[in-house]
Amino acid sequence: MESNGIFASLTPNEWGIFFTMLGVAISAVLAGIGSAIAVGRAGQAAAGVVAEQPDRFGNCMVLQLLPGSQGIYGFAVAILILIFSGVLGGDTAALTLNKGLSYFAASLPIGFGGLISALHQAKVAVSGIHMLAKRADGFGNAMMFTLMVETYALLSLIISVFLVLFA
Amino acid sequence: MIVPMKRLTLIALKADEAAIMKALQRAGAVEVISRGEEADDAALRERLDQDAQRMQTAAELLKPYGKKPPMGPKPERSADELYASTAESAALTERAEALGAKLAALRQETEKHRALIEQLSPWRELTAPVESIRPTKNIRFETGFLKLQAVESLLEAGFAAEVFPAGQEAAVLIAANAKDQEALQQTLKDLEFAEYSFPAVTGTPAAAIAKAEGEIASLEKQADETLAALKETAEKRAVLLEGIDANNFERERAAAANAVEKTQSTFVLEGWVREDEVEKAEQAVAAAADVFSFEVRDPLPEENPPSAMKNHKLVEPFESIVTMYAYPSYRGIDATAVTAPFYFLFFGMMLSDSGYGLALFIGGLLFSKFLKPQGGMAKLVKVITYGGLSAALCGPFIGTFFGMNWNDMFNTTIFPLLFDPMVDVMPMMLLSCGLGLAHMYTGIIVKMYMCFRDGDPQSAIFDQLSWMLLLTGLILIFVAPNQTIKTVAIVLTALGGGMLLLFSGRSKKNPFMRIGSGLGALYNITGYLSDILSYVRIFALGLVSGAMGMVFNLIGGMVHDAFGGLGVAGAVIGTILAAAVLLVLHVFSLFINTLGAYAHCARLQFIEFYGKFYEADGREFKPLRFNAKSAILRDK
Repeated sequence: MESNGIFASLTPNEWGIFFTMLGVAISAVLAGIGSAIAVGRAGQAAAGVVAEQPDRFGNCMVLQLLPGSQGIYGFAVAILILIFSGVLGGDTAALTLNKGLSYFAASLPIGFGGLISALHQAKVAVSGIHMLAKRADGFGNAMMFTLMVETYALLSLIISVFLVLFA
Repeated sequence: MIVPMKRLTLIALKADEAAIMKALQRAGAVEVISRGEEADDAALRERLDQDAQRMQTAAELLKPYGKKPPMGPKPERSADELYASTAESAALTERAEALGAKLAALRQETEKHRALIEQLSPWRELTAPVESIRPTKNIRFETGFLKLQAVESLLEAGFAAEVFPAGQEAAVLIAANAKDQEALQQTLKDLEFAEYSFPAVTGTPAAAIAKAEGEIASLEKQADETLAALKETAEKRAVLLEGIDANNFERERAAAANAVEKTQSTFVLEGWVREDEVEKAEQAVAAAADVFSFEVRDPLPEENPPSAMKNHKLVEPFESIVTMYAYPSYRGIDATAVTAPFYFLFFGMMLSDSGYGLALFIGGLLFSKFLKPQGGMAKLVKVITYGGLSAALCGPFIGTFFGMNWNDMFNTTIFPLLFDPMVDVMPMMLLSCGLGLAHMYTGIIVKMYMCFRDGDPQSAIFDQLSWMLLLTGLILIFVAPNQTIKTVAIVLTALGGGMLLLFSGRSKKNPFMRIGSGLGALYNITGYLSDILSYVRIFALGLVSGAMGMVFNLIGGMVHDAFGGLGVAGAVIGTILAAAVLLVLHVFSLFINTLGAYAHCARLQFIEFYGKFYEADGREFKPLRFNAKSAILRDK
């Protein structure tokens, strides 16, 4: 057993805490990366349009922000895991390995769903911002196209929330 | 509702044309139909366009020099007051153009002198006048740059040189006997000599530099004076903006006049008038001319009038949501009245925080009162204000107060009055989907009304009502508490499904084709189910805004507690810091969640709701009128 090193010495409770924390990290980090890249790309496009047409700032900013929601969903799930697992209250005694793995699994939908949907939503947002450069009245349409992608991030969020609540 | 339109044919004397067009623009009631031909007053329109271009460029030029206009509503002006600024704004344009050109010329001149100084500075120490460095009978000169270590090689080779080192390089003036010219060239080539020729100056380089510096000082003084003059001109930029508006009035009127058919002595104007403004338009014409024929008739079926909406003041702001999707078809239906209640409710449920709601509501009211936004912006602000009110009302039922639990605040256990979305997940989801179903049924019922109105009751029953029966039946089958209701549910399902199966293809003669289209119609059930599921976003967004508020409060509490052990001073600092942190975080949360609620509510209207009934191929009614950007227009 020597070869297993420190992992062999962990109790099931400690394993539970470990996987719970991993879940918290996955949901916040993956969705956050997706949104950060997405908002960044859309922001570059928006700056390009606003440089020529400063009056489109408001509309461009809304479009830029739309793919930012995945990061917030991931953050919300991370917080829910922290609260429901008891980590935030310092009450981790009941965290079994089973529970920990459940919380870890709960982080996966919003982590990966958020990451990938944000990247694709960014592409639509960038196109929408370019459309705004040509058509001042295209805002509603651009927003709708962008929101179509958002649906799948929301579905991921809902499943993650379910998994947290029923873990 | 969509305002009925009348087709106007106005015939009047050409002599009265200008007066009539002015009167119509003032009345703002007639959209002139273009006859689609080239202008016969092209020169006038070209001049107006050029003026507009110049004034806009001037306004843009002056922008950085003026003070920012103070926050507050735009000034109130009448159209005549805006017209009165025409002469002054033309003068301002000319002045701005002249000053701008002068400043640019001064800067260009300054740049030229700077470049000269840059060129001469390596030779600053040279005591010989530049014009004296030219070949004589026996002596050849070379000027240029060498690397420092190359200079030694040059001197070792026996050439006379004056060296002005600077950094790694040195400027060198080399004198050589004319017969050594070739040897010198070869040596220089080996040493990677960079040739330099003096610019056309006289005297020593130092003197030329001093002269250029003197020029720059004088130019900069002139530039400062020009800048001061620009700043002074920029003070009156508001007048220029008014002039741009006046010019725009003229341009729009000229474009409308161009659309009018003209004969030898009369002109014929074809246009659209709102039914409720016919009288206003006629009075405007009567005041401007004595002889005219003003005739209105209903639009013909093949004509496509523009759409104008008229709604009760309470729901009018939601027109901005409807038109963000598209203008309603003239013969379709204005969705504003049915959009408003659902938008109101869903917005509140998505934000679901009384604190945020109150902040939006009060903020929106103050914004409307003090900044007096106009047009679409005014409507948008009102929609957000309503949304805030809705969120404030929804808070006690399904939400929080600035992320705080009502029970903690009032020391009770009864809140939230309906569900806590974080605990009662299933009920909250069912509530969202149930409201969604009601939303969709409303859409279907509106469509049924439209079918009946258009004399097509078969569509209303077989294509619309059948879906409500089928969906209601299907849902009841799953939730039926007893056998009786279950039986009813099965009957409803069979009835709805049967109608769809048998009557969807009622235009087809071949029975197999008919059943085929019935099956195709039934497949749409997947669309309806995914539509219902889409309303889960109400629950999800409510959950996110609640969770964000709660977490931010936790962070604020941590900041406060971090100073807990430090006595009174610690408590004070902790409270102040926590308050600042909470303010920033909650403003962020409010912003993000309001944006989410606004956008997702609109989506639920556009996709799930309008998809059921809305005919969106209309175009906006754009009468000839005064469109002012610089001011809020008043009548007199």
